[in-house]
Amino acid sequence: MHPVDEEQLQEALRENARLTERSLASEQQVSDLANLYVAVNSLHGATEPAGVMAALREIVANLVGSEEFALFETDPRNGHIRLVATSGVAAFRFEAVEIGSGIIGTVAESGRPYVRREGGSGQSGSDESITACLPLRIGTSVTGVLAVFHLLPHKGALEDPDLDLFEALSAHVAPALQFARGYHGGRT
Amino acid sequence: MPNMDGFEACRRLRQLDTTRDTPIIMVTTRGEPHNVESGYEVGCNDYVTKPINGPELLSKVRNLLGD
Repeated sequence: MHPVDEEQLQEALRENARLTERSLASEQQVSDLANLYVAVNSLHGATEPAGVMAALREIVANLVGSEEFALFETDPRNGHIRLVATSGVAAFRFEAVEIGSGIIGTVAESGRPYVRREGGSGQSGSDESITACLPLRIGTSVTGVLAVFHLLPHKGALEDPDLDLFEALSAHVAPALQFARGYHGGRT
Repeated sequence: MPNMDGFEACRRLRQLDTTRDTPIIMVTTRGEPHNVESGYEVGCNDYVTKPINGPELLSKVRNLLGD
């Protein structure tokens, strides 16, 4: 065996640390992609509206890290916004939501997402408690809004993969809900 | 969980001969220290809080399976 000098040993240790770091980063990327796949697949796998809501509840809790959200739909005929369902937050707080008013109404009107990386605070259901408010689209039309409120205490703040997940939710919740209604309605 | 919570489920699993030694990882939204402590008190081997971190969970599973 050749003797290994101290410098070679240190270089080998540094290389090992670099490879370990890259391996962990790759593992995290695979996990993030798997999360996106699971989210989209579970939404589109639902064959009734309650199933879409259950999938959404799981995604928001397991992947985003919140137990509070509200789902709205817009009505293009009269420009109103209608509460479809809530989870972990009282429905009565959203009786007066109007297009163009407050964060939810503004997102419904503009189609631009609102994200507060550090998470919402204050009373549940208030504008201050919103962590993310996402336009829900079918094609290029905004057909609804998903508002996610407080993050779980140990979540801390949103990270980049959460934003990717929000984009997926923005694109897939409304089509999944529409399909589930049509499929379920056609069978009952 | 319907009918019983995870702590009770874990406690009961630990009382059965067939699952007494089965590794249990609690996956929960309850991340407060007293909840984590309760999880270990009822016999779970490890505790993961939501949102789920895939690599972390996988590492814990591998660790418990001696992989």
